Amino acid sequence: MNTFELLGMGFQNAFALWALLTIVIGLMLGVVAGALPGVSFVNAMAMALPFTYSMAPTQAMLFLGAIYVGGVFGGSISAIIINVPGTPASLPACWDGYPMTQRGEVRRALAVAILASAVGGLTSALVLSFAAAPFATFALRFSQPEFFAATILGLISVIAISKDRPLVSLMSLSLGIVIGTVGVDPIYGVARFTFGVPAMQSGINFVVVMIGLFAVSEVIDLIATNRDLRPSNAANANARVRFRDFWDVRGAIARGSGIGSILGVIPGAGATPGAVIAYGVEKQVSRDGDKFGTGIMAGLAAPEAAKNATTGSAMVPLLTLGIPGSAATAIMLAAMMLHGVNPGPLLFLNDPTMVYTIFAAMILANILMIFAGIGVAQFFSTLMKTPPAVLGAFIILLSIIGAYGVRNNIFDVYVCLFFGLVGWGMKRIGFPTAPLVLGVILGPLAERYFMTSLANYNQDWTVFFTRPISGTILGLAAVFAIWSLWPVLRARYRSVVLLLAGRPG
Amino acid sequence: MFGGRVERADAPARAPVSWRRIVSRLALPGGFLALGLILPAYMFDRPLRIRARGLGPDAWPGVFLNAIAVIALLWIIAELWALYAEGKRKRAMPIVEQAEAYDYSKAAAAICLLLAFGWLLPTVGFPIAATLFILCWCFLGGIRNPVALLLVSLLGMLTLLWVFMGLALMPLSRGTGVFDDFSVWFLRFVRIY
Repeated sequence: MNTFELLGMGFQNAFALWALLTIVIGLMLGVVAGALPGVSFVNAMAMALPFTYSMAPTQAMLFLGAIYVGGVFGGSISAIIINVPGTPASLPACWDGYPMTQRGEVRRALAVAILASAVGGLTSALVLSFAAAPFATFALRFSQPEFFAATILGLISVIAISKDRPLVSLMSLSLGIVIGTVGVDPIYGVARFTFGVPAMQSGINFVVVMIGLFAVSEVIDLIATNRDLRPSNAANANARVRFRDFWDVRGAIARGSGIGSILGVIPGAGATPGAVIAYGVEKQVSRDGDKFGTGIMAGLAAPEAAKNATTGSAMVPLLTLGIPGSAATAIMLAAMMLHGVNPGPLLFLNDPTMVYTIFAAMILANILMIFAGIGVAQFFSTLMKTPPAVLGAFIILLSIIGAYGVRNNIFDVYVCLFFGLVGWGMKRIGFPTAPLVLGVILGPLAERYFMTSLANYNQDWTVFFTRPISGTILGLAAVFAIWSLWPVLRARYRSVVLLLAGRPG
Repeated sequence: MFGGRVERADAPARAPVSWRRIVSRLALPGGFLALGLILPAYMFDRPLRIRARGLGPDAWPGVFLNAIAVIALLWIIAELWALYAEGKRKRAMPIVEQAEAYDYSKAAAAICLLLAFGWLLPTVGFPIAATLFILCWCFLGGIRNPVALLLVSLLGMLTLLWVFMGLALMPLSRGTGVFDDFSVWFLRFVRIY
């Protein structure tokens, strides 16, 4: 069967009542969670994970995929209405979206954001549908060294997340990798870093670490800052939406969609860099670039399109290589593993129905998101009236239940609470949490690929460089690392030269 | 009278770097350096008796513990350099005040509440622990109306119980001893069991 036939079959499955309901519920949950500051769609996905235990694998993926699509957009609702980004990727929506709200153009801002997000997401879903299969065919040539190299590329891309502080990011990543080694090792079966605690022999689950770092720490901040989440200016939402508004930003949406689709494929890049880079590019390209930040629609449309365009393309490395490029896709990987599904090139041969149902659902979800977005935006003002304390209490309880549900183990609750406190401390001192999480996720995979590669190739470590694909990927990783570090190294070099010349800057 | 050293008015006035500032800047990388150096000794509970052909189970974590130590060392050097550069500047860098008001006492209370919840959960069971947690958290968050507090905590706990123990069939903690008996009675009362 060709791609169109497979996609047709996928649509047939995605239009089944149970699948459609799952997508709609997931979308609504995602948009609401993304719109609520302190919740975020990643937390919502982590909290939704226990609900997928009783679902079939495909249904579980549709549910989490819909939360992902809805959640990436949802963050912009609170950014536009109350100037509080629901997710980090929605930060650029505050820069030009909120000034539009202040001018009484909240409806126009929301309409442009919803349409740009939908177009970006749809472009990305099409990229996923047509590029993933050829990518998977290519990936069939991969063996353990290639998987190791691809995992290293994912780990290296962490530098790009916070390129202004590479040492701190590398420290966070290394800590994450060490945390990932806790428990019985995959080759020799020897327990490491258990400190005599039997429960630690089963290791530290990355889902539990994620829930603690993202959800628990955020709620502590919510109660300590006593943020007022109520919208103050939504009543002025009377500016009319015209078709011309959409036509005027078509270029911005196209550029944002392109940037997001490309960046999404790179493990570690994700929605936030995609949105910020798209905003920067649009500022350079647009005729109104100098007015950006005052409520220019192109400045809102480009990052909106870019962040949703990362959703589909981020699933390309997940489904073809089993490498999660972001925290959201890591949760999807966890769901797949919990259901006994092994992502990778063989998945396209063994279970094409599931794969193309996911693709069709991603396309469908991005279209349905327009309606979900409009619905949630309408009721958002009411939702935000919930006292932050009530919201926080339930987020904590859902997080704890989510952590407990991973293995039905109270030890995981303690681990979750511990990482909640660690995450809170890290946020307070500005220590990045994203590299640590990626280290916990990718570290064990990298170790397994590394050790089995050496075992298979007679302990010859040059195999990583001499095999063409593996060598090329490692070369790309090196180029990517240098490219990401170059601005920092250049700035440091200049400051050192200036200081030594007696002209401290 | 005029023999003393005359300082030019525009000469760079070195901003003194206090010991407290030095310690605060070096504490974190110093801690990581210690972690990277000490932790390898605690990798295994018992001495390793595996004769591995090639790399052993200590290789991978060992590499990254060494990496932590090396990165910490580089971080310390970078911090020392930054402090040196700061001292050389004419004016100290302006301290940027935090935009948001952060209530650390509230954060500390929230952390204590979380720890208490974690400690109580296996002993008293989810129904009691969750009710008490919602009640205390909402009180900490500024809700003072006793009716609202009771309704939110009781209805919230019931909803969570129904969703997770009733629908998702998750075996949430029932507590021990008398609390276990109470949880069983309560779960029967709300028709989950």
